[in-house]
Order: sequence, then structure tokens, then C-alpha cells
Amino acid sequence: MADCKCLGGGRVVIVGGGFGGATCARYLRRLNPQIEVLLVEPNRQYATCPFSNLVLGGLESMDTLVYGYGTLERDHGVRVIHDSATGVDTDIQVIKLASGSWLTYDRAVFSPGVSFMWNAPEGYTPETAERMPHAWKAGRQTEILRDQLHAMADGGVVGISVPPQPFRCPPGPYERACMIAHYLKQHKPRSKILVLDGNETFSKQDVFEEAWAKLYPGMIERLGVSGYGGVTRVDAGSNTLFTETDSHHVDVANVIPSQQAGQIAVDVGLADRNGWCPIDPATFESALIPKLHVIGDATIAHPIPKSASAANSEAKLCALAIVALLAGEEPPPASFHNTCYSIVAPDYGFSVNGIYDVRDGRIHAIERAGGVSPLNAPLSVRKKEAEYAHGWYASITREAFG
Amino acid sequence: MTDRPHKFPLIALLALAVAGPATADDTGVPEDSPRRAEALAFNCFTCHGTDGESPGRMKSLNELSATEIRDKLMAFRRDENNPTIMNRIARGYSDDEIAIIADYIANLE
Repeated sequence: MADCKCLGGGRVVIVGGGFGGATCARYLRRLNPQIEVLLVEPNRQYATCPFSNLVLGGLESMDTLVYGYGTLERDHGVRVIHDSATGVDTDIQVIKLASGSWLTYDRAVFSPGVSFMWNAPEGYTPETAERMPHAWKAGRQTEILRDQLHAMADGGVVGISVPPQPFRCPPGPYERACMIAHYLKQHKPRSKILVLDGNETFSKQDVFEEAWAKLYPGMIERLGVSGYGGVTRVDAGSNTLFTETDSHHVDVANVIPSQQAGQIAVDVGLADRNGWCPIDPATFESALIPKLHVIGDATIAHPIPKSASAANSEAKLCALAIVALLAGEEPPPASFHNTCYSIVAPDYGFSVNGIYDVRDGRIHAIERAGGVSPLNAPLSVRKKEAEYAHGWYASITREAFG
Repeated sequence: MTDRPHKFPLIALLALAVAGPATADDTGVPEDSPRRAEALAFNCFTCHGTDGESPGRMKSLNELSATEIRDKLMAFRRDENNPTIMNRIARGYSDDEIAIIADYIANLE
């Protein structure tokens, strides 16, 4: 065990190399090069969920959204281990890997993202997902959905099933509806999109609905949960989505299932009975297991949403807290920021954001800050926000993957 | 807090020292501690690039002086300069916090 506490050193094992884990690894090394950082991530390449809806719209190709871990290793001195964590022994402070190796830690950070709850809706399984893609983890799933859209005949119906909250990327399903509409409007203009929603209201609803009416009139229909939009069961054989009252046969079925914390977090006991990980918001240390921190989509960090931006912000605060704790110091007061851009057409974007702090052990959105882009903004403003969305993507991916 | 390994030159500490009296909050961390500045300013880098060096279409912050950063944030807070989102961000920070952020970023190497 590299148990060198000199200058606040020590060893931190990070499980999961997405926006949270990769950013945390980089900032730990930046803040204190005495800290040895090991990043455990099974995949050699990471495809970003942000901007994957743009692949469906034909604005981006999949290969522009793929990143490796070479820069973290070469330029930032992170040891990247392509393996899967399978368990933790908290008594002797080791993370166990699928290969049989054990990694000792002074502190560990879990950034496992989300896992899907199969059979929610009923009949939705890993096999069904090949036929009815969720495309809620980017990569092969995104390509399946894109290829189905390309193969669909003009006049077809695309169904998007949205699970009840909480789920990764709250505005994502509605941005997706726009990007699919953008593709269909050009290539299959008689086609329609049916959003079957397990929720009554949704993120940035006013500006989304304004964009639907302006850009894609008559193409996108949404049923909220009280209008019986919630999908309870699917049948992949007939491509049918069942709600409480109706059945909808569709030509392309994009079924986003219910979600919980990434499987490893559930397996090692970091999640509560609802499947998400409670944390101390001042440090993002687990409320259930000492010396293990959890960041990103897997956490209960309300009112901070489950987004790449939030994971980035949490990763940096967590790195600052760990550096302080390893040095025997008090962590600094927490401050978080989230910005979620949505691109609904090539020159049309808008945003929601929030600033957060921690008071009385709870995360608070600072009321005078944050909010949604205004309704009825001129097109020049929507264009600027679309450009800034690209700027955000360039920066946040560079923060994580160098 | 000795031997900071990275990017917090003495001049920044001096700048913070003259920014106002340091008061301890309920965490026991002095408000002018370097880590407090990092906890605030790191949030800028999500969009504006690590150390304020933007790789894309966001404005780079690393060429700006502390006064320029502070003035811009104060103006955004008043909805000036045609903001799209910076007004919604700047409103989340106090005068002191804006000063801390501006000094930290301006003094990065």
C-alpha cells in the first residue's frame, strides 16, 4: 500500500471513467501530485451521452463523441486500469477487480453512472433493448436507434417512452424528440413522433414546446402521465408500447427504462432502498460507507440534476475535499454549478442552469440565480446559445479526457 | 497550508488579503483560503476550459485581469452586456465571491 501521507499524499482509487470519474482523477493529480490516483474503467473508449442526440439529428457523427484515457495517463499521471470493480472490503480498504487484483485505497471515489431497471416497463430486457433501443448510454445503442430511423419509411411513427423521474439527463428525451424531428423533417416529412411520458411536466418545458411549435409544427405529440402517457409494458415482437389505457404500435420504439445507480454502487451497498446513493453534500462522501465517495448521476444530490455538468462540478469539489481530508484539513465550503444546454436545431439552442451551496447539511439552489432561457427570445439569441452549447462540449470533454 | 503544489502564487494570497477581512464560516475554513477560491473558480472551467483556457467557442478567461473579470461579472449580474446565461450565473455569487473568483483566475500561471 502506498501509504505515504507526507504532504497529504495517499492513494485514491476511482471506479468509473465517465465525466465524474475522469474529471476527479485529473483534478486530484492537479491539486496534489503526491496523491497516487488509480482509475478503474473497463472500456478503453468512452462515448459521451452529451451530444449523442445530435447523432440522431445528423448534426454529429458518432466518432466525434469518442474519447480515450491516454491523456489522463500521459499528461496527468493517472494510472488507468482497464478492469471492472466487483466489490469492496472496507475493513482492509481494498477494491476488488474482476481480474482478481485488489487495489488498496486511502479514499475511493465511485462514479458509476446509472444502471437500467429491467422489466420497468414490463417486458423490457437487455435482449429487448437490441430491438427497442434505449440509446441512454451512448455508443452502439445510439447507432441502433439512428439506423432504425434511417430504415423507417416516410409516414412512420417514432415512439419515445420516458420513465418517471429520476433519470439521467432530465431534458434529454425532449431534445431527442427535436433532433429526431430535425432528421425526419428533411428526409421523411410525413412522419410523426409520439412522446409517451411517465411524468406530468418536464425540464425546460416552455421553451421546448415553443420550439416544437415553431420548428416542427404537428410533428411531435406528447402525452403526460395523467393523459396516460406512462408506458407500463412493451412488446418487442410487435413494436407495441402499452399504457394504462391504450396500446401504441410504432415503427421505431425508443424505450428509456427506469434507472438506478450504477450496478457496482448497488452491489457494494452504497445505494439506499430506492437505488440511489445518499452522500454528505459537503464532501460527497457516502452517507452509508466511510472513506468511499460517490459522485455524478448515481448520487442523491437534489436539487442538482443528473447531468455531465453536475458530475464535473461534483468531481472537482470531491477532489478538493479528498485533498483536504488526506492532509488532515477541513474541506472548503462546497459550491456547485450546473448548466444543461439543449440543441433543438442546428442554430437553435437554450439552457437551464443553477448555482448551489450547502447549508445545514443540505444542498440548496441559490434562489436569485439560475433558471431557463427566456421564451420568445430572438433567433439570434437561440443561435448564440447553440454555439455556446458546442463551446461547453469542447470544454467539458477536455476537462475530463484532456 | 504550506507548500501548495500548484498554481496559487503569493500575489493571489496578497490580493485576497486586501480584498476584505477574512471571516470564518461554520465549516471553520477561513473565507480567504486557497481551497475556497478553487471550490468557487473551478466551476468556471466546466464551460470556459481548464484554467480558463477555452478550447472552443466560449470566451477564454486566462487573458483577463482580475479587474476585467470582476467588472464583467458585476455587469452580468445587472443584466448588462446582452448575456444569454452569465446573468443567471453571476447572480449566484456575492461581491466577495466574485472578487475571490476574479483574483484566482487572473493569477493562474
